[in-house]
Amino acid sequence: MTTGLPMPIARLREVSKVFDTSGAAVTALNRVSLDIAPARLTAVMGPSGSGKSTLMHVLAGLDRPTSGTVHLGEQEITGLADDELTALRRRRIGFVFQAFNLVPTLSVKENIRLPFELDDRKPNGEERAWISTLVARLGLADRLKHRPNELSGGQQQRTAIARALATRPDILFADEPTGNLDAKSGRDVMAIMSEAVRDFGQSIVLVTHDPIVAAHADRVIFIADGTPVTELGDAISAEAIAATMLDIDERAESAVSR
Amino acid sequence: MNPLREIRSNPRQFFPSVLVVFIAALFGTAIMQGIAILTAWLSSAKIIAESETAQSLLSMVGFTFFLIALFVSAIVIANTFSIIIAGRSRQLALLRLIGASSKRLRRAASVEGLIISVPAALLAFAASTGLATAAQNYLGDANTEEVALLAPTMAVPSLATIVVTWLSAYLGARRITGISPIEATSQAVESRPEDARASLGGLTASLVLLSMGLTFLVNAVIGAADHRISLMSVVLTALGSGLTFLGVIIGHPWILPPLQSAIGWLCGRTAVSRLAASTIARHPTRNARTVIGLVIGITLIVMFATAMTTFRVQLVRYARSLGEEGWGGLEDALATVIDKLMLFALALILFSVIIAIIGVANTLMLSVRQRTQEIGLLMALGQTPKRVRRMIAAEGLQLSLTACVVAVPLGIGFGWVGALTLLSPLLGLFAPSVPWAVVIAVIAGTLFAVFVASREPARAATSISPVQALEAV
Repeated sequence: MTTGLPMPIARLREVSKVFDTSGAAVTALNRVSLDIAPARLTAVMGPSGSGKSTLMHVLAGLDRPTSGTVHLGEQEITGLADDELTALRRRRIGFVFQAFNLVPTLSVKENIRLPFELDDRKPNGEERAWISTLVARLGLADRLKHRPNELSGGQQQRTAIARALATRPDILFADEPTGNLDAKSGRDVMAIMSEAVRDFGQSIVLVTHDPIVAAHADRVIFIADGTPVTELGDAISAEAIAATMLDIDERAESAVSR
Repeated sequence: MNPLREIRSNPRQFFPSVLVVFIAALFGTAIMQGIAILTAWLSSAKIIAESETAQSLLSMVGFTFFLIALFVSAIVIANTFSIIIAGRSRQLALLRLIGASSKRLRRAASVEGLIISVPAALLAFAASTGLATAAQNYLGDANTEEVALLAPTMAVPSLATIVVTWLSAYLGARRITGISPIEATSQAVESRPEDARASLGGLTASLVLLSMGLTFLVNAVIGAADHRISLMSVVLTALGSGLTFLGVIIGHPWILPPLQSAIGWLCGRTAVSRLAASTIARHPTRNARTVIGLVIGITLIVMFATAMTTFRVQLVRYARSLGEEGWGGLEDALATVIDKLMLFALALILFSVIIAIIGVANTLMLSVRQRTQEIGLLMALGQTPKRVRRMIAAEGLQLSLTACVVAVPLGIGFGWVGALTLLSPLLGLFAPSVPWAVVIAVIAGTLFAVFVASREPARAATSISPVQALEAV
């Protein structure tokens, strides 16, 4: 797996994002440069307001950076038009969020196939086989005809993951995917994500504030005030992550009191 | 996404639109077929010889009223769709996120309009043809001429209604363009209001139209005072009224919201009406669009009534001023004819008012649905169902009151200037004769109809338990 330096799947260079709402400029990202390695689970952590959601939005092409460049694979996405970004989202990017991931009027099967329908095509034989594999792996085989409101929270999240993986995206973004789940369902979801990385070589970027969730990652990036401050690459454990977070908090507090 | 599925999953929210399409298409087709039967009967009864001219003249008048009804329907349907879209914005943002383009989503939404309009328009065509056939049977032998009830031209109103519905749905779905995929990533349930003010271009156009129209109208009044009125000034007056009215219609997103707040403030003594006023103020543009439909209908009714009443009163006064005899009783016959014409015109505009009232009921219904949680919270905090119902009725009443406040003066003004232009060569300047009976009947009728129409939304709001309402996300 470690063959020198693999080509990063996503790349940020000198990216800044400034929100200018009613005159008061807020710097959400401050000249961030970052490489996201392929076939890894990368966790982004930070206190609320640290810029971790903005980082994900910019990486996924949902939001345009004020300055700097964003690459997805070989392609620079910073200058793309809205239509191109839209096509990019449905073909090369997958999303899983805390809640409201599914279209309520569609069944589980239709939700999973939605990215293909939005692309005006039916999944081909290979893709159908892949979807069947996913559905079996995620334990949704007997739920395909159900509507989202007939599923448990864990099943809903697994459906969202199946939809996000159905197109074999270059990269999957997960924003607090376990936030609405009980502990057991949350562990299941994270186990599925780890398996996707290990068995299918899926690249995942995970945004969370929960050290236990982040402990499933191969690499944990810590963000404070719009800048990556430190990261953990090996010896990742919930305790180590919690200790690092606490450290960042204390430094921030002492900076304020000084 | 899939238009048919959206309609099937929530058919009730489309019911008012279907009703509006049905009424508009029925009205248009009935006018066309009715006029065809009428002229055939008149000509076979040898009352008028040249039925062709009479038919085309009548058709033109009838078609004008149909166009007015169609215009009001377009406003109501566009408003309905924009409210439906607002309620669906979370789901639309999700679809944008997964990779649906906004163009595609907007097209899908407008197809919903097309799908609901086709059966409604067909049904209206069938209903009107049924009525026309019944009328023909009733006339029986009195009508010897052939009437082509199924001629291609008879389908024009239905087709026009379908096309207008489709376009209105597309216009109403304009908000989709502004939905950002990022909205789907936030946890907040409350979506931002859809009330981006209309474009500045709209404001400019409205101001230009208003100043031009008012200049023409003031000129007409001054001209009347000087007894110098020509055919030209009749045209200018008509143009002035038209431009002013168009200015009000285009400028409604700026003109109506302040009035809505003022009316809300005037009504706002009790907690119930203050809550209603603040609800209206939350979606000022949406409610302004609801009100403008009513404004159009009421203005036209008051205008026709004022113009014809003033005309009749002044004509009789002039005739009497000529001497004891007057015109030898002719003026009384003329007055009767004018009154009948007025009733006929009012009946035709009534359709537009009915469509506008459905629009008000519809806005109340949809806004209640989108506030399920909020109303649940009010009830959990101890608001009684009775007061919730009263609050929703108060919303409807405040909206229709706003419409009356704008429409009655406008209608009286237009009607007065109209009568003035025609009669001032004889009489100079004179005051309008306000048809109080009509004005009061219109206001009372509108308020009553809106009150009745608010009962169903109110029942819907209070029929769910607070617990359910708070759980529904």
